[in-house]
Amino acid sequence: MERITILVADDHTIVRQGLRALLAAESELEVIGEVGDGRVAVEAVKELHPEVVIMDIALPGLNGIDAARQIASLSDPPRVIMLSMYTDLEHVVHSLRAGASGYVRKEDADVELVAAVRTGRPESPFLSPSFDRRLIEEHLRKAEARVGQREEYEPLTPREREVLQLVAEGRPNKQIAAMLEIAVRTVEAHRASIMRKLNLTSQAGLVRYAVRKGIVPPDE
Amino acid sequence: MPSAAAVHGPSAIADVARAFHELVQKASLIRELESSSRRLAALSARVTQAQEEDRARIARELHDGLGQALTAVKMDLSAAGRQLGPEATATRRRVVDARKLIDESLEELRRLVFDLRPPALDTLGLAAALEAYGREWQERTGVTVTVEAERFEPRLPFEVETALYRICQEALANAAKHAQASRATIRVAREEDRVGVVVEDDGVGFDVAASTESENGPVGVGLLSMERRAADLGGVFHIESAPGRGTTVRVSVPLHREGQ
Ligand SMILES: Nc1ncnc2c1ncn2[C@@H]1O[C@H](COP(=O)(O)OP(=O)(O)OP(=O)(O)O)[C@@H](O)[C@H]1O
Ligand SMILES: [Mg+2]
Repeated sequence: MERITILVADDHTIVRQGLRALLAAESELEVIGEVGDGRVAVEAVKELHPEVVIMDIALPGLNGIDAARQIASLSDPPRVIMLSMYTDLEHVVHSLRAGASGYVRKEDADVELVAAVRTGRPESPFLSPSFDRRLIEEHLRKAEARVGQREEYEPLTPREREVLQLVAEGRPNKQIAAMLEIAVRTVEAHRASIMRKLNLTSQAGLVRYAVRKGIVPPDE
Repeated sequence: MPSAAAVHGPSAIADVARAFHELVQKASLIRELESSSRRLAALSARVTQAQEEDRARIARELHDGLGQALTAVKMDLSAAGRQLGPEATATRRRVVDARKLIDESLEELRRLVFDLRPPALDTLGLAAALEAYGREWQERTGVTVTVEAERFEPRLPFEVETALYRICQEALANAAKHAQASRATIRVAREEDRVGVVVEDDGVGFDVAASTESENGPVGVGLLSMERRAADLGGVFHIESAPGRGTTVRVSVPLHREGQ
């Protein structure tokens, strides 16, 4: 079986211990890092390039959902599986909109987490069976509709529109940074801010938005 | 030119002096009243704030302490369960029971945390927290509630989000307790440099003047606390209702406060 590298982001030692034991039982899963802070998690992803991040929501520094959103805006991002005590619809829906590949209730980690790590994808996220999938999908659609309304006025700054165009043209961050004579980190920050403001979760969504607004021509 | 004393006599001077003295006393009484009511308002604001901080702290301790410990115990229990041989049926059953008990405790803990301070209010903001509360309220009361809450970018300040959440919570609590409504609505929207909140129900309504200005003081603390919370933010609170006409609570608070 193929090896899957994992970064664990949870601020509770006892939970991390439990997770380590749980994941150690699966030979192809390898924990390559543990962090206890959302902002540090984003940095660790850039450094360690894990394939999967197991992400708590109540984290110091930056909450897990905002961290997931920032991670999703990196180039070639890892899959993020949310693992939280929170079970309400709002947290699940916001996580999925932030680009998460799955959402597992913390107390169900023992039976569901491994499956979520193996099978969760942004386009078909793993959800605990205890969640009402139909209700979640309905809320995702409503949230999409809200974004549609909000686009009537321009939410982006001129600089962000500039970055959006270059991103939608498929240019890597490094090239954009060179073209605008700014740091790569600044490009990443603009990208994250654009995704957040437009409530987008993926590169594809970003391109669709840019096309719809006539910022870039449709690609056939 | 004749003096006032010459015209009205000494007793008149005494009257004027007395009246003047009384006036001065009244003025200083009014000043004292004003200053003590200001002190009271400040005290009440501080008490409210302290209460919110306590609620947030207890919710966090429940979530971070008990909650995380319970989930960790459950993981351990599962790991132990997996090591049991096939003959240990009785032990395995006890493990299953223990895990179920943990799930129930966590459900309970979640309810407690939600009542104290919903996590969504911190992680996701006012709109999501109100949506979560509306759903919970609807399930509990059987009354349909619609939540139309604008998302603010950047988020509203902590005290504003908290106060507006509590106001909506109290307004819906009243609707559940008194209104016999079939529908309720929460709306939160930006109005230039203010945030407007409207909570409406189509229930039995009530005579506002009679229940807010009764001789024995206010009936409950609900309306009063909504008004106070709005005032603490430099905002205003209105309630419109009449028997048979439903009830509408309106609050408007400034987005930015001078001198802060
Ligand atoms: N939505 C409503 N529909 C009908 N009557 C209402 C509504 N809201 C308030 N009232 C009336 O106004 C009174 C005062 O409300 P208030 O919230 O101050 O007190 P309470 O709900 O009775 O008690 P408390 O809030 O302290 O638990 C209520 O007793 C009720 O008669
Ligand atoms: Mg009340």
